[in-house]
Amino acid sequence: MTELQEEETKTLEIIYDHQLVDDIVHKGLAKQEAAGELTLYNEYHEKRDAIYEMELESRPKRFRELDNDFFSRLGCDVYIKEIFDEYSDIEEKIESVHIRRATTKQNEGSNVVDEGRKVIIRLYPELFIEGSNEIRKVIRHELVHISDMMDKDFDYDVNEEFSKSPMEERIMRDRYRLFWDISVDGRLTNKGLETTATREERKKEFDSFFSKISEESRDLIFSGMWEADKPMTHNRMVELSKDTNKVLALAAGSRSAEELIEDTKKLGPLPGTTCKLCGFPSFDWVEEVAEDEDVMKVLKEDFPDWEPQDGVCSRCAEYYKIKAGKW
Amino acid sequence: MKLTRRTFMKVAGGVTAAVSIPTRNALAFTSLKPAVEVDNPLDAYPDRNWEDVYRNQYRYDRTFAFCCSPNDTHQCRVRAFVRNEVVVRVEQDYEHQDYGDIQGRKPQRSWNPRMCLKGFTFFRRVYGPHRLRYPLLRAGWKQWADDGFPELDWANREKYKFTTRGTDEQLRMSWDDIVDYVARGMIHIAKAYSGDEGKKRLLERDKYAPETLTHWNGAGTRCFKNRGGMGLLGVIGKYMGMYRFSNMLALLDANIRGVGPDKAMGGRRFSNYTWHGDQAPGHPYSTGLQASDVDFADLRYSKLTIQVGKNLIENKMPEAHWLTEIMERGGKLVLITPEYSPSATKADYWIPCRTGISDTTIFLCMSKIIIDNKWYDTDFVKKFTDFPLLIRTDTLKRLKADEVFKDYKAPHLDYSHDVQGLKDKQRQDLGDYVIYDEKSKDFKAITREDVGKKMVAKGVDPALEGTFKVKTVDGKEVEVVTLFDLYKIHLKDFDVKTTSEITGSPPHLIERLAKDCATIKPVSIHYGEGINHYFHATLHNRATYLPLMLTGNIGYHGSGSHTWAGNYRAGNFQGSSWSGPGFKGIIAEDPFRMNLDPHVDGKQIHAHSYAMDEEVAYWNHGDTPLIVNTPKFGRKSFTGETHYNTPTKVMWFNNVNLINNAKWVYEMFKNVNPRIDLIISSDIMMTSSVQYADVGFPVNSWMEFEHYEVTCSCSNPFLQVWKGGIRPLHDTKDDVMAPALVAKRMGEILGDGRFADYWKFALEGRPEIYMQRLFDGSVPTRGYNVNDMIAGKYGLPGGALLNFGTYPRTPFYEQVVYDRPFHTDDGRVHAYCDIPEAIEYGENFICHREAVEATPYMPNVIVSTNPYIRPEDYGIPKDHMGADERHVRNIKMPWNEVKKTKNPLWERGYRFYCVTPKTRHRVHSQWSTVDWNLIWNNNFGDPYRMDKRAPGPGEHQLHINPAAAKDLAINDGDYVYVDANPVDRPYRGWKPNDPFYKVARLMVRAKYNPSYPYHTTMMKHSTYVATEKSVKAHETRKDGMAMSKDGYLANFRYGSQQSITRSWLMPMHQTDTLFHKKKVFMGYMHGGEADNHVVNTTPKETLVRITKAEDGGLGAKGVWEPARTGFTPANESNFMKLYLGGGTTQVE
Repeated sequence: MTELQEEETKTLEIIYDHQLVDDIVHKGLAKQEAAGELTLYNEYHEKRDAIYEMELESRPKRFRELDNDFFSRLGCDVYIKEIFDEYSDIEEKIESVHIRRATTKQNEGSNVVDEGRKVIIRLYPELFIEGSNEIRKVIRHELVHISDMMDKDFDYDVNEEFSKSPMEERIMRDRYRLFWDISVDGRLTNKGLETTATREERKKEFDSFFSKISEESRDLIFSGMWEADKPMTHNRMVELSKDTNKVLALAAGSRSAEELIEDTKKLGPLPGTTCKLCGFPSFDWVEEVAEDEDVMKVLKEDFPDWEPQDGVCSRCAEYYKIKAGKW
Repeated sequence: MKLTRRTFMKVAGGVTAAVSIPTRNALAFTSLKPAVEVDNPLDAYPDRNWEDVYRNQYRYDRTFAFCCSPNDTHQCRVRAFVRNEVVVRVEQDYEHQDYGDIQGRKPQRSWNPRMCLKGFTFFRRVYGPHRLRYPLLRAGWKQWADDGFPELDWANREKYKFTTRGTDEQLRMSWDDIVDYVARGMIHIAKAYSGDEGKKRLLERDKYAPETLTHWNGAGTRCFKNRGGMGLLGVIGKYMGMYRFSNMLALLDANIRGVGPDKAMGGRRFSNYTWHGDQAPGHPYSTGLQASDVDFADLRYSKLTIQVGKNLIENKMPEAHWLTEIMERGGKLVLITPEYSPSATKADYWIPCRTGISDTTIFLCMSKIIIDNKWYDTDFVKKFTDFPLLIRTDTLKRLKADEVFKDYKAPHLDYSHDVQGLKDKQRQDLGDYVIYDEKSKDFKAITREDVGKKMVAKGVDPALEGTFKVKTVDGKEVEVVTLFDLYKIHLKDFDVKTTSEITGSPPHLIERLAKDCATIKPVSIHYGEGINHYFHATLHNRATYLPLMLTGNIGYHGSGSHTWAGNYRAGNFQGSSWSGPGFKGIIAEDPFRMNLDPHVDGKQIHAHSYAMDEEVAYWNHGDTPLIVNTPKFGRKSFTGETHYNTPTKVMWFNNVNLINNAKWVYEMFKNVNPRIDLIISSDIMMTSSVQYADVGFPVNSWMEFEHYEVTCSCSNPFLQVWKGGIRPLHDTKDDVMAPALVAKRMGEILGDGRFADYWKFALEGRPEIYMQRLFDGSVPTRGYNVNDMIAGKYGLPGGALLNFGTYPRTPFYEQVVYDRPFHTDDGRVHAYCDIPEAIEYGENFICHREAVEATPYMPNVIVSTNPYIRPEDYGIPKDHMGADERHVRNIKMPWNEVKKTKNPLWERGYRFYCVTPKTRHRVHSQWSTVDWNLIWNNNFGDPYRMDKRAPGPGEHQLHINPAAAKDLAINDGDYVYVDANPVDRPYRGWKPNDPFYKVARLMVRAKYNPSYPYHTTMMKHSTYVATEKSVKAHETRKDGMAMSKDGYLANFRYGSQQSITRSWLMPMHQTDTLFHKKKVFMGYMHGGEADNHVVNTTPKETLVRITKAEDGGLGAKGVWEPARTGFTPANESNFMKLYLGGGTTQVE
């Protein structure tokens, strides 16, 4: 086998989902039409009408070819390739990239499958229309995620199950996503590259997720995450997602032990997380249980390891109040 | 040129030809060109074979008719279309005009069509993945049997998983094997609970209350409970099979205890109608009859109908048109409901009221207005009601003739004796009553037959008003007052202002209704489970009679007070001294004197009930009667002796999802059923009742019946016989075969051929013989021949009309037209009740009581100042919150004080009523797992299950007022917890760390529904509950479906509608002294009789608290997507608001 042939086999294959391409082409041409640029628009529709005269069986293939042609002529096929070139380490490891259509902006994301041979990126079609800068930011951000996923030290587990409760699963996943996004955007920003969110935007998000942590501690924790030049491992982020105390502990060293203990007391379970007593998610936590010794006593009989910051949902609180004769 | 359609086509065709040159630019236009030039496309269409593709979708090889026979009172005869031996669709038949009675009379065509969406999708149940496909035996039970049935102490109950049935494996068995196991098991259990040893086990080992042995009589067979379900949905298999088996158990008892027929005991027959809360418990009090219920066709005669808590438009779909026909005929519709219901949209006026049955006071207030304004019909009141009777103010009892007239002897009454079946001893015990005669100005005795024109002919004119002193034969002088005058005192508490305060109803509408009721005739009042599911339904039912008694609106077409739960069908097979034993002839044929002649007249069958009725509600109450430790009298039973249950050791139910639909179902699973030795469910579906049973007998569906079945209804006049049209799909048999085979095997083991003989015609595949005996022995069917009926002699193969006295059937017609006594002791419709229990409980007058739980005020308080209501409170403190104590505490207070009281539960945040009506998309729990119905019956139906939290292609929902939901930070579509009193729900002894609690707590979707008042939520009833296996399924299956390996599909992830309900045993339903007509025979009795005068269950009696559980959006994120569209209630976009306000259409 010649060297040239070897190089050809390593060429990265980028496969676009036809639905995505079709959507982008229509939206792209519609944008041109709205701006009064009719040349490409008319040509596309003339050619598309002609396909309807063809045999039924051959039409799908011809539609695909037409869309691919115009996808290329609209200049949309270069973004992915160009940015991948910035990440030669990924390009070398994988065989193909599948670009799929995200149904909503929130649905955008990426994943590595088939034992690291295949990358799947879901993108929202409008992104391609918004302009090259926007799409570069998104793809760059996603590629850092992919790079992390392919890093053995990161120890990514695509099948991670955070909780049995769908509500809690969602909350923990959101936290996990935030930690990782902070890390990705921090590293890109620190390298002087534009990314999907600024430091201020991510900080605002972080503050909303951890409002019960004091502002001083929050600033310390966030800065640590944003400024780190290496990502936290997957398992570490899972751990932090599940336990706010561990997030708070990231401030250790910069804040006194007394301050941290005070902070810990203010922590309670998040709305929607699971009650440690009954296992049901709750938005209705009862704080005064911890203030009643009789109730605490009967509760501790069943759950000796329970601590006030674990929280008690309203139904469990009622149960223990009844048991303590206080209902 | 005149441009006709044809000339236009010619012109257009020419033009098209002229311009249709083959260029790409003209492509769009050329596509409109006709393929071939033709004058008339219908004459010369080139090739229409392609249309066959569509036609063939509806091609069928054959059709057959069958009865869609769920528990919905309709029993629609429908037609199935079969292709390649598969039923591909079901349609309505238009044949009702062809049914005939024995004299050839036919009903209106207007009965057509009859069938709803349930019949439409029935074949999807039959072919669906949730059938019970083969016999199942619980592994632990099998092991118990294989180990030789060791003593079932608690350790062994745990060892053999009687305590954890829901997690045990269920093994596939052959019919022969399972029948053998069951027969051996039953013989063992009957022995184990017989005699002294049995008594010891029941009282000492299993700790049953001693009262539960009242009807045990030393026989273990008395601990066997059979439940046919439901009344006449399939007389032979679904009903007779179970109750005949119960009677046959006397043979087993005779074998075990060596006793003769005089001492042999059969089992206990579990009730139907009352267990479902369907009975109108006040009816036997008012008229002495089990239930007053008319043919739907009678509705069109009403000029004013008052529908109370009844959503007939939604829940009686095939026959709701009879209601709307009232409008076409110029009648008036009035709705009294808390919510703006589908039926309210059809009403002339809707009277909203406080949820619960605060509207009892509306009828009291109407009566007051009618009396105050002298709008009453004096003639009717004197002739047919108890208002003229004299009441002793000292004892609160009606004055008896033998108290006043020395040596008074009640005369023999021919009609009462010969037709109504009043026995001589009963006649003497009843005696007669006294009125004050206006003509003679003296007291006169009045018999139960002195009604109507017969009373007038006797020359008696009773005074309606007056207080008198009367000397009794024992020399006392007592004060007596006419009941009419006492009611004037009683009704003072229910003026319009007070009533409006109690109910929240607009005062002007209450006044308007009273006036309408007094000025329009005929007036009917209809209600059903909406009312009967409350603790004080008795008072409400009785109250509805008051304005009708005063205005003479009883007994005539279009009039009357009726309940439309409509399941007292057993009454259709009424026995009598002249027709024969009726229903009893087949369910209670004497097994010691059975008749094996296939040609015998059913009148000759010797019936003897060795079995005894029992209300299921006691099983639901921890298998115990209502016994309360009262401060004043100590331990006191509020259950009458005629009602006492026996400990349950065997429970076998057929065609009823009995456990699944039990109030407080998780209490049953956890705390009650572990003490039962054998639970058997015969069903076509894999239900939770099967999952928590020891034995599952799979039976044929209505389409698969291998032999003939018969059904009829009480809301239409059709008698129907049918059998299936396709072969059984699975290893299933007709229902009747399960008890027949078990009986046969039992006889083989015991060496007694009578067991098999008792089922001879079922085992021979000739159930028509039992059917013929039933027809012969019953008043409305005597004269019909089953084979003639099948051959179509009465107009339609398998169809005939029941031979009732009137068409449409109207209760009490003979009473008011032919002057016959009502079925009460005094022959009159009752406004008063002087049985000792009623006086003690403060319900001698029809009063208003707050609910026992579902009220913001003091539970169970009597709202009254009437000095002739003198209730006993048993010394129970006013603030006692124990459930049993609340049952029986009788405290009287005026409304001004009541309204200042608080229900402690309400104060602790339980501030939502939860009403649980029927759904239009299912029949109770039937169709709960049919994909199409699941998609239709809620707002979350999704065949793709995009949100993997959905237990199936649809899920259950709680309707909630949007303002209330928003105040609780609950978005439309969020999952919520619905919790009731934590003291005892979802089950007694629940605790956070019990894994079963995770199964039992209710989590459900919330759906905004502005038609419900702020404090009222609604959840349709009887869905498939979450079970241990279904919870495990959705927590472990990749697709998240709550469907276990056995095919069971729950409608919830966690809990069920029954997580928030509990048992309530209404004391007034448990008397020994109420005199009333027997249910299925022309005769009278006192006290308890199943489905007639026994506890009627009350699932709506609950208050709940609602808290958010999960976000409603996909994957528990954000708001449920449809709630963001701007088109859903309380989240309307500006456009939607404009549209709703009529602003999108401008009229210039």
